[in-house]
Amino acid sequence: MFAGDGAVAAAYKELAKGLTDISLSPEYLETQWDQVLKEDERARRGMDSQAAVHLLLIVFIIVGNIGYFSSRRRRGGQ
Amino acid sequence: MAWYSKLTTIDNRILYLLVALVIALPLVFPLNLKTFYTQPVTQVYEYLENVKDNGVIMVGLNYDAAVRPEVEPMLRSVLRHAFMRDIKVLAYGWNPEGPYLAQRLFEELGPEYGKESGVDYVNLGYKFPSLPIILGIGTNLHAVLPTDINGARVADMPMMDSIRTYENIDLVMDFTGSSTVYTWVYYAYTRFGVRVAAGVTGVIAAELYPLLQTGQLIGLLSGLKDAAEYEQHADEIEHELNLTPVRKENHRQFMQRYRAMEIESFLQQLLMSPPQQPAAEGEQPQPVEPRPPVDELTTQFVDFSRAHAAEARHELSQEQEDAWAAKFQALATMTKDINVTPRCSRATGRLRRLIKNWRKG
Repeated sequence: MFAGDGAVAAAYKELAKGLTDISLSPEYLETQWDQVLKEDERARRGMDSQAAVHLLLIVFIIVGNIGYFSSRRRRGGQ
Repeated sequence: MAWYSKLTTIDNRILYLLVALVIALPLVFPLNLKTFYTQPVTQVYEYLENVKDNGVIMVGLNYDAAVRPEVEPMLRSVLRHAFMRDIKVLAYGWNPEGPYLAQRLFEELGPEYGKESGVDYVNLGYKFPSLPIILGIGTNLHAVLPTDINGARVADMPMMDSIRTYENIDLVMDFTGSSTVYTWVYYAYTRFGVRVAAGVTGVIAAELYPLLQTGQLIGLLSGLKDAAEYEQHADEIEHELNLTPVRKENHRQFMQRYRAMEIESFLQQLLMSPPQQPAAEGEQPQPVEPRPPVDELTTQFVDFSRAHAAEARHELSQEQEDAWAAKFQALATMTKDINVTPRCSRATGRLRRLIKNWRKG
């Protein structure tokens, strides 16, 4: 039926191992590990955005108030 | 017009654009800000630190995709903490999405920390309705949650031998974006005295503070800020135990096993026709589809190899491609008669057994 169990198994094993080695280069594994580390700090990364945008809104409020009070003074306190 | 007067006339669209940029940029270029610890989070952390080795926590997986970005980092950090301290984890949810979303975390973190399903953790999956189950755990967990998420029997799992009721569970921690925490507090804590904590979205935290202040919750993680704190705690433990190199190696081995299985499955599908379905009574048997010609299979194999190599940022040279194609062709030719027909089903059986034994060995 086919050319012996040993030959098929050996060929199958060589192919499977060869493909696994090709598709898991050290660089690729390193990239995957970096992804794991990024997942570990996902909330902290999210907090970076939240902190930055909070600071921006504080700046907006301060600047808006400066503009408002300055223009009111120019109009004579009305 | 004075400069400060101009400030009040800036186009809203410019302000929105600025906000969008300030949100997006730190996601691309992290600021790596440290966060300070707050009392409700410290209480959860310290409680878990005091749970003895091989203690048990039960996590309630009652979150869904809408709140996943906020809640899952908390769950991930708590699972890391538990795995690093050898605390056993039971998981159960009555939100249909939660247990399935969390299963990915178990499958990823388990192998990284050397933990096994059924031995170190069990995801009991989605079971409904919640009330009879929460009350039933108080008398016999095995009766109300008889199988895990994959349908395996809980009674056959080594870690479940000693876990029968709330008396064997040190803490229940519910992860949710809704009011499911109340159900645990009202029925599990009040009726059976098991301690409860919660990891919730920022918007529902306010209504849980009375439970925290009255001691009905031992601690509370609320919103992304608290998730960030717990991540820091988990990282500190990992550094303290110097687990990162071990975890990295476990991750590498896991990737290899996973990829090898994927490739073996592809080769099997390519080289073997599917088994013929037995015909129903009174119907003509379906004709067996012959396996495609070797050349066609080889093209599929080369495409598959190329895609995997590209994913690994590894470009195959023409010589390498030809060499792999030749090896595959040899194997495909050797197995060309192994289609699942009554005539050669014995040969297919032999090949399947061979592959199975090779995978075991």
